[in-house]
Amino acid sequence: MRKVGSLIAITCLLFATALGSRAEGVDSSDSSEYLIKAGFIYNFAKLVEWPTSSFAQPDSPIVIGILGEDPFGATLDRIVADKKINGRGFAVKRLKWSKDFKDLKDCNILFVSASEKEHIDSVVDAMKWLPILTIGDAPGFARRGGIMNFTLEDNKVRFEVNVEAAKHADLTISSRLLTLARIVQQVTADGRKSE
Amino acid sequence: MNLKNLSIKRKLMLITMLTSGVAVVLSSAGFLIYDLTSFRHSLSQDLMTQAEIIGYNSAAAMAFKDESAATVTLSALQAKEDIVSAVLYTHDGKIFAQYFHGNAPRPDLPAPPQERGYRFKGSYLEVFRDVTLNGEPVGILFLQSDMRQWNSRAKRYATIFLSFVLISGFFALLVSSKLQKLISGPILHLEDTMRVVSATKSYEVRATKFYGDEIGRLIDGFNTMLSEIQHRDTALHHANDELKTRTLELEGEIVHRKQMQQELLNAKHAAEDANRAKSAFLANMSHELRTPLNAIIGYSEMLEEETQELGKVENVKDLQKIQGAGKHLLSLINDVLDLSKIEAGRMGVHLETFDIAQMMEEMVTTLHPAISKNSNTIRVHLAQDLGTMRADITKVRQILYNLLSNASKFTDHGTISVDVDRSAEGDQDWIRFRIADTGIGITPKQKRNLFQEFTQADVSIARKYGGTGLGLAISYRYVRLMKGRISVESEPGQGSVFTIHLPAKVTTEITEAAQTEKTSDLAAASAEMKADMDTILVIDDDSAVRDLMSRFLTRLGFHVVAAASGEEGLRLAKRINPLVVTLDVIMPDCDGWAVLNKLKADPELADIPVIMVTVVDNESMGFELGASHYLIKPVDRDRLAVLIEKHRVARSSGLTDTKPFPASRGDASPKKGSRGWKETSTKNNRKTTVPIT
Amino acid sequence: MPKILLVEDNEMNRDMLSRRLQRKGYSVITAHDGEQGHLLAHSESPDIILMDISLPVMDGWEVTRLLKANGATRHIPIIALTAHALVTDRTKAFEVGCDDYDTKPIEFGRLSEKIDNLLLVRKTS
Repeated sequence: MRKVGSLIAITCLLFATALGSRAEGVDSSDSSEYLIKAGFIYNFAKLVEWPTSSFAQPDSPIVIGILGEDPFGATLDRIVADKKINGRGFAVKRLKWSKDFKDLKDCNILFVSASEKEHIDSVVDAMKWLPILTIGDAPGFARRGGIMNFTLEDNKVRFEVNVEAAKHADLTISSRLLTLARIVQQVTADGRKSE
Repeated sequence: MNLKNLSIKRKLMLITMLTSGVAVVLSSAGFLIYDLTSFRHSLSQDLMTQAEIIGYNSAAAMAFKDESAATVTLSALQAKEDIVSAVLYTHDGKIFAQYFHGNAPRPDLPAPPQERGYRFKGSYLEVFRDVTLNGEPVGILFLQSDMRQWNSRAKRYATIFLSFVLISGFFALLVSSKLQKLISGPILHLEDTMRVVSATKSYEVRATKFYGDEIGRLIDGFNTMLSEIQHRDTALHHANDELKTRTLELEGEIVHRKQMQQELLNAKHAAEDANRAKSAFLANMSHELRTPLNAIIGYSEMLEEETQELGKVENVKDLQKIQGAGKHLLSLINDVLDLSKIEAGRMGVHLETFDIAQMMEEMVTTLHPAISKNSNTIRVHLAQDLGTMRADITKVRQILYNLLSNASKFTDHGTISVDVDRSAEGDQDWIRFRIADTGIGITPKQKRNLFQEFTQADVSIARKYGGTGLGLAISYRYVRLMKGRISVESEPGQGSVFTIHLPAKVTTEITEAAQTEKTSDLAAASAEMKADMDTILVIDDDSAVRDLMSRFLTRLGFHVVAAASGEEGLRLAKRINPLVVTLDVIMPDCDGWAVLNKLKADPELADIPVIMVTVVDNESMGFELGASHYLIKPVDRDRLAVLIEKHRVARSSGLTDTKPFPASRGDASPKKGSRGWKETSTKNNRKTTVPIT
Repeated sequence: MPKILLVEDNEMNRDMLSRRLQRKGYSVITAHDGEQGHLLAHSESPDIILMDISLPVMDGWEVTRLLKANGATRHIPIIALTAHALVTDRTKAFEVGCDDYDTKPIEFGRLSEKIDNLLLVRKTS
């Protein structure tokens, strides 16, 4: 019975993913995509190392900030609810640009929603040297200086990683994650690749 | 194939090889098993580790649902030849990514969830493992290995093991076949030696000792045994040779003995013939002598009666004298014939059972006239328990008659007492007859020769009292014949007491039935010769002669007693009562003639035949003095043997008695003048030497 | 006068005995052998027979047996006269049927006593 149920769930999930696969402007009510993304974010946390200064206490939570519109709904909260990574729990914050600037700096992970595409460069600039894992929802985020961003390929959620940016942020990304990601380099506005 | 009967060599080798084989197999097997088992275990650990690595590597892919990445990860397993398949399952058991090695046939994949860990399914090792990302399960990994490493290892081991067993077996064979010689060598040698000994029967052979072990000791023992056998063998041969020699000697002896036996048998036959002739002679003589005498007595009696009637008293007296003389002559003839018979050994003893008291009463009645003639009185005392006795009644009567008539003859106005009683001596009953008188008595000189014939005390007594002089001699001999005893006590002027002891059951060597002569064969003759160990007394001063004689006579089956002097000889003769005495004449202390005299003078020894053996040729004197035979030295041994045997035969055989016996019992009439009743007595104990033939 | 048959082969003995018997008052017939004795026993019917044993032609035992077997002569007493006096002779005498026996040499007194005894017995039976 359970198997059948799982099978149905997976099928639904796949359908959902297939249905919801678009290059841009993903409907925030398409829950399966963001379920996966939420899961990914959680898993990213497993494979990233923050510097010790990021956390005040050993058991200080990993703060996930959602900048801009929240596409996850309760999903992300639900996923990270009782989980712990290395003894750290999670905290989810919803943030608005410029107003919660200070709060932004307290995050360990910052999910930059697609709604903030105009602020992307500012965000990137602000975050550039901070040990915060910036994850953009739309492709190009990493090229523009963010550390990671989601992509959709063949109806599958994928992600890109800007290793340089991670380095700048003093974040160590596990090779295991890197092998699964597409590595991108920052491209300047004029199309030159940064060193 | 009977293992038990294999040769020592094979057995030893078999044992060695089996032992080493078992050791090798067990140790190898032990090792193999241990190794293969631990290898299997390590394989499983290996696979688990492998799973861990794969899991780790594919955790992210699973977490990020990157199937291709996961598949890529799995394909790294290409490098591991033994991993047949690998599958990543999602939580819900769906296959996420899979890998199959090469062209291997796709095995059936198990549907998860299964128990985590490893298991051996069929010929495969399978592992199920959770894939975790940072401790959180993201999926399930399934690895399947075909154990090829283990198989190949096992095969390799099997090969090694087999070859090892073979090689070690081969070496064991080599070594054991060399070493078994230590044991089997000496044993086989021993076996060989034994075979040689029994085949050739030569006991000087010895086995060589190899080592100082138990087999070595066995060989020592074997050798000892052989020397023992050798000794015994030699001894046996010696004994055998001795035996052969002895057998030859004995055979020679036997031949000689057989010859002797034959000779003796011939002598015996001759003697028997002679005896028969003698018996016939006596019988005839007896009859011939008596017949005319009966006529004389009878007619004179008749004439006496007729003359009596006619009243011619003178004639009557003459006739009475004739009668008296005739009767006297008759009794003399009877006595002489009796004695002759006794001397010739022809006097038989005829046994019958009779009542003693009755016989005594008859006797006394018969003698009444004789007793009262001299005005004597007779007193008879018979014991209560006399009962019966078994003896020759005629002879008993004769003896008693003789004694009683003597008693009455030599007693005047006196008393004659008769006592008869029965007593037990040892296991036999004896009857004692005691006749005492108060008569003239007997002088010592007379006593010495009392029981000799013709020796009445002196001529005057003989004239006075009458009698033949033979009565006591005959009585004495009758008593001896019945194996009794007779003795006399007397002092001159004091009367005399004659005592006779007779066995209540007289036995003789010859039974009544054996009155006919038996002709015996050689076997019987030799049996008689050997069984009856008569004694021969050899009197000779020369010890060599004594030795020779006794050996010779012993060989003939006689018991020999030797005396070195006449005195000794006389003493021994009295004691042993020999069958025959051989007497040497020339002897230092008392010469043979004197001894002969003494022998013949002694009533107890008188009738023992004496064979004079001497160098001196004086045959006539010998016979005059009473020797039975006279042999000249050097003695013809065979002749001596024949003579002795003659005497032995003569002594032991009996003869049908032809003299008439007294009338039947119950006859109460007086028995005067009839045969068997002695009116005579030893009147004249005069000593004379008369040759006895 | 009792009649005695005397069977005796010796002439002198026969003569002596018969004369003495006659003098005693018996009538005497004699036979000189067994056969004659047997005949005379039948023909003469004596009162008593004196039978010598050793006889020619037929011995005394045989004659006695015959006479004792025959009804006519059985009753006649027979005294056997024998030179032997063995127990066997005695028993044989009585076995063949003799009434008595006597030994030689004959003691006349003894014999005549025996004769008288037998004659007496016969008379009274």
